Amino acid sequence: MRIFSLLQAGKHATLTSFFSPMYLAFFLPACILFYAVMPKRGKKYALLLESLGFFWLVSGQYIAWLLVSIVSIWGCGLWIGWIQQKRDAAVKAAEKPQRKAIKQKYLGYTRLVLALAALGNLGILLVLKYSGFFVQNVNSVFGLKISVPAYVMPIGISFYTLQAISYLFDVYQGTVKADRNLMRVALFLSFFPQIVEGPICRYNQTADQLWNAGQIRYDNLTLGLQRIGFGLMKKLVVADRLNTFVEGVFDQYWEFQGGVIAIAAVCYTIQLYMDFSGSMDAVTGMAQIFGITMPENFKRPFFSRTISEFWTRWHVTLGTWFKDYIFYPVTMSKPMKKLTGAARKKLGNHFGPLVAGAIALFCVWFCNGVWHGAAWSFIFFGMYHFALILGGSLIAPAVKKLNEKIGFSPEKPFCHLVQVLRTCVLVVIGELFFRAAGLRAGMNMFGRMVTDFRFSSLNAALLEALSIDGADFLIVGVTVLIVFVISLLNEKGICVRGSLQKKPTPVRWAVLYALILYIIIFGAYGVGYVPVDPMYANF
Amino acid sequence: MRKHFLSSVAFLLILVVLLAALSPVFRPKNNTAEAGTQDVQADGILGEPENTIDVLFLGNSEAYCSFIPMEIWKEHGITSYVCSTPAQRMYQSVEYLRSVFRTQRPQIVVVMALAICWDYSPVEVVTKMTGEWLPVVRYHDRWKSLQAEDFYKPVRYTHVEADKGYRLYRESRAADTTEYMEPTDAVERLPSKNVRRLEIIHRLCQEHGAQLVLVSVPSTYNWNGRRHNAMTALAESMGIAYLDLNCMQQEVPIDWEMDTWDEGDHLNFTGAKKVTAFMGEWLEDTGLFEDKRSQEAYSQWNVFLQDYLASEASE
Repeated sequence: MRIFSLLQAGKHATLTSFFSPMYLAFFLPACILFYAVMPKRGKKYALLLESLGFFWLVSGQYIAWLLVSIVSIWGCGLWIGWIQQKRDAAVKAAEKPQRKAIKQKYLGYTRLVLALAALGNLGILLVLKYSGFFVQNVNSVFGLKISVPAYVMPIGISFYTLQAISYLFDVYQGTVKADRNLMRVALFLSFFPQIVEGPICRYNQTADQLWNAGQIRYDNLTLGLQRIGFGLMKKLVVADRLNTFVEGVFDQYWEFQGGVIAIAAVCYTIQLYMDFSGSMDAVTGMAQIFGITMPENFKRPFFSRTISEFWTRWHVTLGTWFKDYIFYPVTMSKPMKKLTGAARKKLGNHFGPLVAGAIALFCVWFCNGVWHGAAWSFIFFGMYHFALILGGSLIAPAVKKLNEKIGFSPEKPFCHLVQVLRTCVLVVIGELFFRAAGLRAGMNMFGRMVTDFRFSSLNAALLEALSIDGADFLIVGVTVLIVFVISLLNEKGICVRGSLQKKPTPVRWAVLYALILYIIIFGAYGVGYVPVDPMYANF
Repeated sequence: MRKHFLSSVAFLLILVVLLAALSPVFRPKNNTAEAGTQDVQADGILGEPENTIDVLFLGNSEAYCSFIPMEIWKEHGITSYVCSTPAQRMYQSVEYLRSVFRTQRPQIVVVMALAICWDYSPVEVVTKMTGEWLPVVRYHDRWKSLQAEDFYKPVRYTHVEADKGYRLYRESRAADTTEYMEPTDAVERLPSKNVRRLEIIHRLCQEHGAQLVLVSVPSTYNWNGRRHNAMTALAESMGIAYLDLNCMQQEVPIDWEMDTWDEGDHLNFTGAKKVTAFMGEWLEDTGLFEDKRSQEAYSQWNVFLQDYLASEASE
C-alpha cells in the first residue's frame, strides 16, 4: 500500500527538477537499477516504462494525451511512408513525361497528412498555451469580457511537440524512413530525461541509440554522474543563489536605479544560462549513463561575436529546429524563390536574397518568441533578435568598408574581444525583456537603465532586503570563473572531462570530491532558500 | 565488475568520511542565531540547566502558539518548555525528545496529536535526517560566517530563551466554525509510520520515567470528529492519556471571533492563555510537581517572568 502511495499519478511535481532530492536520490537510482537488472532484450522496454512512469508521476492523467499523441505521430508517419511507397511504385511504372504529375499528386497527399498530424498536435499546444493570451487580447481590443481560459499544461509539451513534428517532417522529406515500431517511436518521443526541457532531438540522432541501449558501462556511469555534478554546481551554486536578487529587482523594478536594474539583467542572463545549461548537463549525463549520446544544446554561447553566432551556440536544438523546419522551407518555397530572383535583379547579389531571407527570418523569430511564452514580451524578444540579425546582414557591407577604412581587423584579439562584449551586451538587453513582467515593464526597466544609470542605492541594506550579500556574489563570481575557464579550454579544443579521465585515480577523485564538497557547502539549498524550478520547464 | 564495485564503495566511504570530518566545523558552537542555530526557540532548551524542566511540549506550530510556559510558572511553579518547530514531523519530534533526554528529565511529555495525522515522503525523511547526521549538510550556509575558532572550539550551549519556546501572536482574525467538530462515527486513517514513531516516543518516555500525554489544541482548521475518533482509539490502544481540548468548550472557552490570529488555524495570545490555564491546572492535578517558585535554583525563571509580565502589560 505504501509503495502504491509513492506511485500516485501527478503527485510528484518535484520530479520535474533533475536536481531535487526526490529525483537524484530516488528516482534516478531506481531507474538505473531497474535498467541494469533487466536482461539485454528488455532494456529498451525498461527505458520506455521508466519514461512513461516518469510522465505519469509528474503529469498524472495527461499521460492519456501523451499516449494518444504518440500513436497519432506513429500512425501518421506510417501513412506518409505508405503514400511515398505508392508514389515510388507509381513513378516507377509510369512513363517519364508523366512522372512529374504523379509526384505532384502524391506530394499533395503527403502534405495533407503532414498538415493534419502537425496541426493536430500543434493545435493542442496552441489551445493550452495560447488561448488565454488570444482571448485576453481580443477582450482588450474589442472591449469584450470573454472569460480568459487557463489550462494546466502537460510537462514538456512545448519541447515534445517540436520533436514530434520534426519526426513527421523528416519522414515527409525522406530524411528518415517511417518507423513501423510503435515502441521505438514512443521511446524516442518520451525518453524521460529529455521530455522536460529538451534537447529537441531528431529521430536519426537518438531513436536507434535508445532502442539499442545496452549494458550500463562503468565509464559511462562515472562520466555521466560527473556531468550531472557539473550541472548541479551551475544550478545550485549560481542560478538558485541569484534567484532572490533577480526576482526582487524584476518584480519591483520601479524601486531601483537603472544601474541596479542593469546588474539584475546581467545576473538574470547568468542565472538563465546556468540553470538551463546545468539542466542540459544533467540530461546529457543521465543519457550517457544509459550509453546514449544526446545532441549538445549549448556550445559556449558567450564566446559569440555576433547575435547570429550566439543563436548557433545557445539552445542549439531549438535554433536548428527553426532553421530546418521554418527557415529553409520558407526560403526554398516557390514564391520566395521567385521573389529572390526578382529582388536580386533590382537590389544586387547582397541585398536581393535578403528580401526572402528577411521574410523567413521574421517567421523564425516570431515563432521563437511565441514558443517561449504567450505574452507580448516574448514576441518582442523574438522581434528584437530578428531586428539585430537582419540589421547585421543589412549593414554588413558598410561595416566591412568602414573596418577597412579605419584599419579595424575583426580577427585581431582586441577586436574579437570587443565583438564578444558587444554581443553579450545585446544578449543581456534581450534577456531583460524576456524576464520582465510584461512588455511595458521591460520598456520601463530599459528606460531606467538608460536615463538613471546609477548604483548609489546599491548598499548592504538593499542587498539584505533582497536576501543576498557580498559573500553570495563572491561565490557566484568564483563559480562563474570556474565555468568560464572550463569553457575557454573547451573552446580551445581541450576536453576537460577527457583530460581528467586520463589522470591517476587520486587526482581524479580529489577533483570529484572538491566538486561534491563545493556543491554541498556553497549550494543554495536548505533553510533560508526556496527551491527554484527549472526555468525552461515552464516554457 | 568486482573492481568497479569496490572502487565505487571506496569512493563513497571516503566521501562520507570527508563530510563527517567537516561536520564539526560547520555545527553551530552555541544555540544562538548568531552562532548559526536554525531553530533558536526550540533549541533554547539545550541551554537550560540540567534536569530543570518538568514538562516538555513537542510538536508543530500549534504547540508554540498554545502553551505559555511563563503562565504555568506564574500560576503553578512548574517549569515547562515548548520544543516545537513549524510543521514538526513525528520523526523530528523523536529526535528532539532524544536530545532533550540527554540533559533533562521531564516528568510529562506532551505531544501534539496533529503531527500524527500528517503524512510525509521517505525522501523528506532522508533529506532531513542527512542534515541531522551530517551537520555540514544542514549548516552548510555557515561558510559565510566561519571563523578560525569553528575548527577547534567545542560545542557549548549557553543560551536560554526567556519565553521558553512560546511565540506570541496578538492579532485576531475570526474563524469559520460552520463544520467545526461535527459529530461523526468516521475515523481518520493515521499513517502507520507516525503510529510507529509515537510508539518510539512512548518507549523513550517509559525508559526515562516520563508520562506521555497526547493533546489536540483547539483549531477549527485542523481538527474534526474523524481525527478525534482516530486519536481516541490510538491513545486507548497504547494506554496513554489523550486530551482533546476541541471537545472541552466548558474548560477551555475559546471565542473563535477573538482567540485566533489566522482564522482558526492557530490560537493567539488570548486563546493561548485559556489553553495554558487549563493545562496548568491539569498538570498540577497530576500531583507530580512541587512548586519551585521560591527555590533559588530557579531564580532566573522569576526574572524572565517579570519580562513576560511587562510585555503582557505593554499591549
